[in-house]
Amino acid sequence: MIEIKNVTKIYGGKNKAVDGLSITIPTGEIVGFIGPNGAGKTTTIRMMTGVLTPDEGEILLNGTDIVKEPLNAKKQFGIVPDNADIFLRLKGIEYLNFMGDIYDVASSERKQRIEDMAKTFEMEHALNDKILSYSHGMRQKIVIMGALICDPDIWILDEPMTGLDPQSSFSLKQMMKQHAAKGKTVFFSTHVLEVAEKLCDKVAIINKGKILFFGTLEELRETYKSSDSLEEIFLEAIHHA
Amino acid sequence: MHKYRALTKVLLKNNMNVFTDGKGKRSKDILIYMVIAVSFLLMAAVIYTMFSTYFEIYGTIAQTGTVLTIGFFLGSFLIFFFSLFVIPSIFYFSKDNDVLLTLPIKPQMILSAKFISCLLYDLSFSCLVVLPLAIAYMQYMPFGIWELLCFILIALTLPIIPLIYSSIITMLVMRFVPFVKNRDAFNMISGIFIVVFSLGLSFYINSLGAVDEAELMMMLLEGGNSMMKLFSILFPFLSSAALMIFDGSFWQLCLYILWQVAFIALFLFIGKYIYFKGAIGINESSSSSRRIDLRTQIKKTPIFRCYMIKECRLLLRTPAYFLNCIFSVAIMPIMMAIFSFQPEIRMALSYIDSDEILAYPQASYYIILVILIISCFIAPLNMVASTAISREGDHVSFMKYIPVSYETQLYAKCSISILLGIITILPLWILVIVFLNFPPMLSILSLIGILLSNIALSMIGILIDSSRPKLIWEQEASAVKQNLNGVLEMAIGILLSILIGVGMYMLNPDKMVYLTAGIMVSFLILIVLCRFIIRRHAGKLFEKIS
Repeated sequence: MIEIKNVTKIYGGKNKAVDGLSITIPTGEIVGFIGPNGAGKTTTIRMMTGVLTPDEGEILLNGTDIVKEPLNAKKQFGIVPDNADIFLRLKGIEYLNFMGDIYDVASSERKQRIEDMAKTFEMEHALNDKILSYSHGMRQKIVIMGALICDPDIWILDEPMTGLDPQSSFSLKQMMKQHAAKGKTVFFSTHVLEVAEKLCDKVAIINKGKILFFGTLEELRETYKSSDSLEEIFLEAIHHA
Repeated sequence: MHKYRALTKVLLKNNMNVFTDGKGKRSKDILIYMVIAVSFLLMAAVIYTMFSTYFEIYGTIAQTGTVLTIGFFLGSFLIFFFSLFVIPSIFYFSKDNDVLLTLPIKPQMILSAKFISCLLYDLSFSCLVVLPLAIAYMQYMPFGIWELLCFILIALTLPIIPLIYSSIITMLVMRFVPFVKNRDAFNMISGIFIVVFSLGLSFYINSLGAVDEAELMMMLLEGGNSMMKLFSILFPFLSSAALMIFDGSFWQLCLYILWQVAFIALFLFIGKYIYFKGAIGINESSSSSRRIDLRTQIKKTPIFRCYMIKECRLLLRTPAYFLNCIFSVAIMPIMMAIFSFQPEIRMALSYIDSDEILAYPQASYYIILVILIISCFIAPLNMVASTAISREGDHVSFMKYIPVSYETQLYAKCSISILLGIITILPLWILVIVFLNFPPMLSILSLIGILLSNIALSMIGILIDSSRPKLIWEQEASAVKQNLNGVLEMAIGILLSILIGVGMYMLNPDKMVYLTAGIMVSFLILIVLCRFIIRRHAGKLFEKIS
């Protein structure tokens, strides 16, 4: 469960990137975080993961405060950052082993998970190569594998579909569904409304650092009856904010 | 022409702000540029003193023109040497190439715009040598408007031919040597080659000096700037440059300009036919497509060790980090070994009577203190600690979101710097222990001193980089080469060396034992202080990093 309570982040003393944001994401659900560029999505994710400290409010990950108990809170989640060009000179397998060590994953579990994920993402032949030689999509896949190696309770993804081929995109969506089905939380930001529509149990729409809507897609359609598609609803929500 | 101007302007702007991250406070940037300006002036003063002495000595044997040639040679060689590292990155491996090569402009235009941006960057090197040379010349020789104009012309054009040399070498290698299309392989091999080549050249010049001493003496005594040709072998335009000033010859000026024009034409001609073919299809790295056996590849490692291994791998496999942080210091023990096997050195060492040296009062402590001075000087040279956070660049947030304390991460990074520092100085320590037959207890004491100085300076280095990391860079080389944090740690190392030296000079020999103890305790205090800061304030320091 992710609890974000009245969180505010101010840049440069006056620019409120996130403004009194409150949202509770229960376990076993996939929640899509939607908003235009500069809405505050990445800042929120960076605060949730301990990269930034909120100026006000608190964030609890499975009940653990990310500011007060950072190490315990960080063990609760795995994150797929928006930029997958990370540790390019490590081989794929070295990166996964490193992440396994960081998250204290036992060798046998690690082996099984790497095998399964490599098969799912068709990465078996690439693991012995340096990440530098990977295509953008492959880099995205290895980062996803690194985030999932510890089978985290909370899975946070920042724009995860970017650069993935249709097969991998499908596999990723399946994995997100399976993760949620195991009673775990999946929270991801996206610009692709169709993905949110097909995948999410709930969506959170954010603009100018404030949550405009949080609920199921049915509730969203109920709120914005005049619009047909999610795209129109999204635009209406943003314009009326 | 309009497109060419626009392209050059963009490339120049893109290469500016090399020492700042572009988002710091203006006052901070001004301070950094002031430090650079002061360093520049200090270096210029040293160069001026050197040339002033040369003019005084060589002037008496009618070799004033030779001094001018030496000065221009120094500037040209510096530019040639450093551009060998820079040209491949800018011409071939720069991130902007992917965009530029798709634009509807001729490849020669890209090439010459990049060349101009390198040229303007190298003007600082040129001015650093030519200006002090001109001032020194002014004091010993008649100086009028002609000389002034000649010096200005040379200061502005000196980098052209050295840059063309390295550009042509790079273009030929990129076009015709197949394996170098892998960026990492090229950077690694060319970097090692350049360092080995420079060392070889330096040894060769030394040996040459020994063999042809008589001939050199003859050249010196011949007068009439006879030694000029010796320095014009590599850069033939240098004698024209010197003679147009020294003789006031208009024809030498024409010849000098002709040299420049001929080389520019050659550069454009070669560039037209081979640059584009070499620049396209550069790949970052190739894949093996081999399936691996997971049973042998997967093993659990403790966090501290796995973090250290990760850091080591990145340092060894990233050419810019390997060449600047590892190779540049790892070569020191090799050089020391080669140096100690030179017949003259071996002979000199054989005359050393360790009993006689150690019989001097407090001699052992003097030796330990000298080892500590060298250790303080060498420890920061690897820059592993002082660029540890900067090297993370865009991905510094990784350090923040993994469930590993900042303390652990910083110590893991620090330990590599400590290890490397100790490895660098260890051969010298062994040399001293063996040749001086140093007592075991004092040998251990000096080793502890080396260890403490390395730990203290590495911790200081990592604290400097944690408080002001340079995270915005386009190329990995900028994270280490254009990072003032490395210079700051070196300055602290030099300051500590000076303090020890001053202590040795000021105190009576019988106080050396106390000085040694005092320095050891000071290092310990520094370590404890740094540890306290890391433990208490690492979180706050990282909070500021975004």
